[in-house]
Amino acid sequence: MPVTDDEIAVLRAYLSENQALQQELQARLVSPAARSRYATFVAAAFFEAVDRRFAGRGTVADVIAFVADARARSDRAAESIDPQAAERLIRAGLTDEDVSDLDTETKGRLFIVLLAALVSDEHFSGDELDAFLAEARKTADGWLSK
Amino acid sequence: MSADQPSSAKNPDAPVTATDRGADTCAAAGARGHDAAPARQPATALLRHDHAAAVLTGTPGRPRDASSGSASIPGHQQPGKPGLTSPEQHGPAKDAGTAGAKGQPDAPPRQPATGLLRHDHSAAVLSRTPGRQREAPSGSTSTSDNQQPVAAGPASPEHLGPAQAASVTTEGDLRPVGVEPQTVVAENGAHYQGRIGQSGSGADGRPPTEPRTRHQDTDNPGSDAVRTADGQPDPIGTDLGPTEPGSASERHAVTGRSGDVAPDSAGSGDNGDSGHDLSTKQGSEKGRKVYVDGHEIEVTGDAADGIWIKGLPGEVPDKIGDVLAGPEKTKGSRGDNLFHKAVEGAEDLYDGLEKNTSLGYDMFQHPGPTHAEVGVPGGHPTRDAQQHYAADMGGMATGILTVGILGVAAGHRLQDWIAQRARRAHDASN
Repeated sequence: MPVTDDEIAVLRAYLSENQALQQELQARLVSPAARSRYATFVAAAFFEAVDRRFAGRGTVADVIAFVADARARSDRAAESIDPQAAERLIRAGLTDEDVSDLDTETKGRLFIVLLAALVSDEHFSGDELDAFLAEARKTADGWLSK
Repeated sequence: MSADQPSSAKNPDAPVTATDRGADTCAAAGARGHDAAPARQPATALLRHDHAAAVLTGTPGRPRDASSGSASIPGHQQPGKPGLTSPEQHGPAKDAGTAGAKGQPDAPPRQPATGLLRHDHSAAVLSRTPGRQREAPSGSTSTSDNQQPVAAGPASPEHLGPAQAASVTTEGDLRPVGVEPQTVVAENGAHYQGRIGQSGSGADGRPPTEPRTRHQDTDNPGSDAVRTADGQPDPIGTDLGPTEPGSASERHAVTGRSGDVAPDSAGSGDNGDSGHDLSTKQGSEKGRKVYVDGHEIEVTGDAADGIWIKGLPGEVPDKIGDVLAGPEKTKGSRGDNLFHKAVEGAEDLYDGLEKNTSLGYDMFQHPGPTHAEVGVPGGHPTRDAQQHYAADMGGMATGILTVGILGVAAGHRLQDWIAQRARRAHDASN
């Protein structure tokens, strides 16, 4: 089943820094299917953001610099973000990096946190954010259809 | 200056001739590796041209006894070949060669010979040894492997002309702008001169010989054009003398010197094996590569390009690492890789998302730096602050003026109103 508007609304509220709305909408995702779709959609958005930032021009050094910058944004981020895992996960979207050894909670944490960092750096307008989410939706639908 | 100093350097009054410079060259030939660094002596294009002309116009029948000094090894001589030397002629060659013996404490310091001379000398060494394998007695035998015996052929100065012209034009000291590949060879030197010095010098460990003043023998052009002060044929001068390559291979030796090209692993030049810090790699006319101290220089031939050696101060370092996602990988394939290895089958991925959503807001609240921070020295009001202060004063004055105008207007209205009321009261009383 493809991504629904409910999952998109949750992620849009999150990326728009509307925490109250995000929490409210996310509380409605109760079914395992909806949660799985949302997780896939977040991963697709992460991939889209990584592709926009690093594909075709990003080097390993750029990835390292980005992760370091993300970890430096708060003490909690520094504690929560494993730099090597974060760099590997980003590289997995660019190369054949194998991240299957990372536990799922770590991957989920890195997806949602690094996605916020990437989108924050992009300084999307409302329309740009919608376009970004639409692209991520396509990717997620493609993944979910497999 | 060392004992092998040229006559012109010792005696300022002595006329500087091309052969003097030839002596410089040969003295410098074996001086590589000594501590005494030479000071580059200014030279004029005219002198070098003169020397080149002297080289070109030398007598073709001169013995090539001392070309590179390797002729000092009789065993390497092939009798019966034209232009070979007699044993008597090796003596001066040895003397000249030992002048630049490597490692000799009293060896002469490296003389700043001109690149032209080095080129010409080495070219002459390479090109005018018909039927002879150039082999150095001291560790430079590896270089001789590249040498092919050159068949003696008829002199064809018209063929040599371009080569010589090229050599002349590649003299680095004479060129105000730009440096061409052979200039590099000449200036950084030592590749040819080191080899020349080794091949004929220092092998026997003999100390340098007394400086010899060489003169142009104009009385007898048919004989040796260059002679020492005592009238003996100058072996080195001979080598620098007539260059009459007739065959194509000889011309190649002059112009290209592929046989004299050092391997790519050109080292520091302090070993006796290669004895050079510079080598050239023959390529196309415009894409020639020159190696200087291990750095590869691509010579474009355009003087405006100059020379850039990688690793020099001021160079902007390359970006670290390769681009991760090149065009060869499609976005779809990369996405599939991420999905299969990070998303697919991850049942509790949502839990990781949900637990750390609040952490993601830290990314928004503390965005990364988007511009360079510029420090402002403290203790002095900045220009912006002054401008803000001036803007505040202006605003305050404007406000006061506005209030004043409004107050005056209100006063007039109040006065009119009072007058009107008084008039009405007066009318009413009437």
